[in-house]
Amino acid sequence: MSTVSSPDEPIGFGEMDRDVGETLLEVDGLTKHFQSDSGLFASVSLDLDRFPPVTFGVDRVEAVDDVSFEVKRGETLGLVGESGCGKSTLGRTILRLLDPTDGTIRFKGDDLAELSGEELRQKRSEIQMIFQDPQSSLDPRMNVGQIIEEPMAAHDMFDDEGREARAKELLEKVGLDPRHYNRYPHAFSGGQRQRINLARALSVDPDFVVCDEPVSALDVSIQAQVLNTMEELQDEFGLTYLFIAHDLSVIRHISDRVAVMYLGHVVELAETTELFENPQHPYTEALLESIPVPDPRETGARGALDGEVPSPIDPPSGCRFRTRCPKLIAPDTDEWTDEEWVQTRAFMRAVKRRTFEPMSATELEAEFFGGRLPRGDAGDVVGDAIELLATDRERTDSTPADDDRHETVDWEAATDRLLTSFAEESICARERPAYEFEAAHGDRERFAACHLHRDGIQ
Amino acid sequence: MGYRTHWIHESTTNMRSEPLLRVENLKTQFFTETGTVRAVDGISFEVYEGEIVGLVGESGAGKSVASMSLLRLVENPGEIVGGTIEYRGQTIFDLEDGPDGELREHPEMLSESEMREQIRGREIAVIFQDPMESLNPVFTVGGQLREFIELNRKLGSEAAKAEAIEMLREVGIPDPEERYEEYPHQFSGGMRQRVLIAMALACEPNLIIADEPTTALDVTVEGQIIDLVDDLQERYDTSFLWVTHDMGVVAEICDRVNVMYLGEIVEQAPVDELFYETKHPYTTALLNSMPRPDRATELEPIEGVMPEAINPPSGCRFHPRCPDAREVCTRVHPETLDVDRADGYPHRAACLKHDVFDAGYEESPPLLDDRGPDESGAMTTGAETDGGSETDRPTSEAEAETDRESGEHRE
Amino acid sequence: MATTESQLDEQRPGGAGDETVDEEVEARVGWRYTLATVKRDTTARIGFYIVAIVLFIATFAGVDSNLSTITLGRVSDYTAAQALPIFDHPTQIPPPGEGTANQPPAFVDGGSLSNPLGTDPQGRDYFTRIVYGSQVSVSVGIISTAIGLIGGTIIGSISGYYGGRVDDVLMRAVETLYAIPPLVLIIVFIVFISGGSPDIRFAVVGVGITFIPVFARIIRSRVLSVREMDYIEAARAAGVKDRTIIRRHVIPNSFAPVMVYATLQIGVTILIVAGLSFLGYGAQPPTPDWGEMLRIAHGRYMHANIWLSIWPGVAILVTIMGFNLFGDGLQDALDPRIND
Repeated sequence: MSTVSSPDEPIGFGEMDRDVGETLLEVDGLTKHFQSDSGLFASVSLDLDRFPPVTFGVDRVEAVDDVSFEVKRGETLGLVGESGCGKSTLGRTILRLLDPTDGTIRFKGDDLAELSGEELRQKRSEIQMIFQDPQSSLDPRMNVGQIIEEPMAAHDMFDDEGREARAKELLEKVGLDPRHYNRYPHAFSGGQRQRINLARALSVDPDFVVCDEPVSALDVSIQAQVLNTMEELQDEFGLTYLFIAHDLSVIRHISDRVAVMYLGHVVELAETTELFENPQHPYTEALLESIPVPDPRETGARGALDGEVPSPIDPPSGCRFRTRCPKLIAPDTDEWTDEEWVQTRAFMRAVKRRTFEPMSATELEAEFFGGRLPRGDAGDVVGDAIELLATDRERTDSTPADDDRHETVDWEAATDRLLTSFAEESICARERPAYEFEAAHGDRERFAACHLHRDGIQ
Repeated sequence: MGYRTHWIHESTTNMRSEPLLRVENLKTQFFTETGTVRAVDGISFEVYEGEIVGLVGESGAGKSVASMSLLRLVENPGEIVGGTIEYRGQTIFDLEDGPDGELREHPEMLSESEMREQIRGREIAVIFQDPMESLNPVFTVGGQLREFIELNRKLGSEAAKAEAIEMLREVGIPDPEERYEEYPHQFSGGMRQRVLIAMALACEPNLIIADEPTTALDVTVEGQIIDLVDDLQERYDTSFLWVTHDMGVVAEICDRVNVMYLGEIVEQAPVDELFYETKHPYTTALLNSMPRPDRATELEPIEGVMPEAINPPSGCRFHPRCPDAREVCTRVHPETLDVDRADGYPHRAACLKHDVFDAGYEESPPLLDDRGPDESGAMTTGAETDGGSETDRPTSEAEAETDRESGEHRE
Repeated sequence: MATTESQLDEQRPGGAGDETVDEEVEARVGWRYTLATVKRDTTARIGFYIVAIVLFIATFAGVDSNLSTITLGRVSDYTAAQALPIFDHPTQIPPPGEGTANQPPAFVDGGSLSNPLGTDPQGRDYFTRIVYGSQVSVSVGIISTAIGLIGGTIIGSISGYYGGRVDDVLMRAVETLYAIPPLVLIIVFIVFISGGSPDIRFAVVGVGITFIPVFARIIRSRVLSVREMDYIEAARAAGVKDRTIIRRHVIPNSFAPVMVYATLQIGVTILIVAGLSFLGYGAQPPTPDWGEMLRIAHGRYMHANIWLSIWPGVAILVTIMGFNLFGDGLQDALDPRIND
């Protein structure tokens, strides 16, 4: 079986080193913001409820915000997060399929963020991408051979015969039959199409491959096949992977290190075992708790997180997870006992999300505070809020009391009062957290964006 | 935390009572240009009151077609061609021998209008996978829910509105009076799914068919929905038929499970049994091919790919991919028979290696491993491709032997 | 999931080491396959045959009406070689004065088989004129549609692919053109360009230009959705140049709805050109053109000899119907795969 496509340059085949080596990619302060409107009148907005009704300025979607990490040669960095966290955007920005708003992307010494035009195009042979959707990632009008050869042609590698030979070789390497060279994508199953994707990406012998949810659209048993193939290829070709996924089980299986993203920030980064066994960020913990485990003897409450992901157009200040964090830190403007803060925090969120039926002041106190409000200024604020919410509050006007209880309750004012006094005073809202410290497992340092680690407290 | 214990008591009483839904030998086929697709080819199962039954399988197994058949929602070119579906004594589907020897619809079968008015949405409700597709974007959420309640519970519009708001509150949508007036696009995916659950529950059905309701949701939202369904199920004692491909969700929420492969149920058991006393090689293989969040794993993929239902393999349909296959498996087609019993329910499997089949499995020679290619189309011969991965598939007889008895879920 | 076809292939024994030949594959893309699908539908098939016949006649019209009054040795000169009348139209077909004027068709009293459809006021055989008229109509239809198609494709694909400023500018220009009522635009164009002596050539170009906006918009909308496909991003990620991407990926995948529209458009064009000729802005006498023939028939002879109006009308009707049926069939054949 002929193995070498070009007698003079057996590019890529046979490199067996998977020792994690020097830094291959270093991302620093990478930011990508989108304008949420486009067109001629994008910066003009009309709101008749406000004065003045016409305002200028564009809404920005802060998809990726000041992200920094590095990837060493030969390793697999897993990037995980739920929808809207920005992981796909991050992957595409690294590849310069999107232009970064700010930050640097150092790859083998060059800053990709600075390159453009022909220089950038040529660099592309060294970083490749594998896409998620097996349906739309292959041009239905081209046959498989042409698809695999296209990147090689774009970089003037080999001649026609050489490319064909290499394409067939690659088909075999990814586990497909080289005689299917002339087939069209529709003749292949989802898993097979992902293998074609792999072959295409590998055709130019890249060093670094960004994999954007490559197995998410596949059945479980096919997933396993493709993942194994990807691992084999990584060994054989000496590849470095940035593996983006939302499935933590898959991430655990394939990654050496894992980065967790939430709303455009990296909230935690650690070696795989460390992350899963010793998570240090409340979001990671919540994520891990939520996953249904395929073991009926390990059932339990899975809804570890309340509320919804905030909009990336106007993200929370400081730590972006703070609006849902079960461990939000008490503001140090007051003195709190643990119990007082836990109760107040729960109350504040319940008010914000309006998760309860309006009741009288005494009922509210009993429900949320066991009858005892917090001491000091904090207690005053809580009292004010209860005032605004209580159904039996005094009415200032002389109109007869409404039957509709909801009209007497001022959710907005109460929410506002509580948030400004507490949530926004917390260190979590004032400063964006970023801490590096030692890991319990493994020997590399790990990172967590959580103020619980300030002063080494945890 | 902990093992489900509450339903055992119910189950022992339920076992003596009649099932809510009884499906026997259901067959649904699609008549296409390229051939007849035997999407569902003879499945039988029951759903009792107050339980959550899982219907799990990969894509192409026929689970969605099966669940749609239950409400006779299969459309041209599909057709239910055989079997019996009974709901609380009423016949949803049955055939009998006609005068000319051909099969025709049983006279006791509910008519289409009876199905529409009494069963669908009332006694049996459905929750679909994609909440974005199931809600009409031009009407308010509250309006859609209220309309549904009006039609099905014959309430006036004021009463229906009040009921709708209550339902929204029940499913955990905060500030339901406000949200009532909002449109679907103003809801997140998880919220929309809650609305669909509210719609399903609004008419107090006895059975809800949930077709992959959490597949499209983020995992934290999925967790919330699972908790919600758990809670509602306890409160209302509604039964669920939960269709999914996610074994994690199955372990989390189901009381009993049916595993489907290529139009057939290959294993049926209470959930703990299924995971810890697995009796069918497909189930075992499926469990072994899944990565887990709670520990590092070696993935053992199932070789090959599920074939199309137009031309299923002879004998046992799983035999081309089964590590335990023997020669007899290519000839004899195993029915789904009782191979064990647990917690008052039968444990059924469709695999010839169990004694009850008496098919001569032990004596039959194992199939050589080059019986077929793997999914990629390349041949799997004794020698592996270079690279030497750790996840070796059983390539020799000896290894196949040792794997044979491993019906156990890996510890 | 793998189709049965590929599964059967997979079951064939033989390892990678065999020096077997690559399999020849029947693509599900491409014109042969599309035409085969069209022909499966009866109505579309009829349309296809009509179109084929009309095209055949127009190309090879060297018809010899078999009669001395016609031949004059000239008819056989006008065959496929001169079948592009736009550039070198025969001046007299057939020459006047040889036959009885205003003779009715053969199946009416007074007619004769030598002139099966009768003769026109100048004694020319009408059948021959109809046949030659097809040359003008069809080639005009095809050429102006082609102008619109090519112009529209270029503008639309650049606009759709690059977006932003480019898109804004191009689309505003196109829309301005689109806002002018087409017939007015064409006539003004013809009058200006020709400086008072209108000719079919100007009509063709004018009509073509009028169609550019529509094609541009169709292509652009298709390009906008194709642009979002992963395989386009994959090509960019691979380092393929933009213009290559447009050429190899974007345009082939956007072309299907355009082809359908173009086919239907040919019918419309024929009608428009006939209309222009009817108004006097298209083909000039003595060039046989259905619209022009209608003009003459309408003028003075409507009551004297209705057959002069009927035959060109029928010809136009049948031709347009043929193209429409074919276009519909094409749309059905391409549609499900567009959504594939």
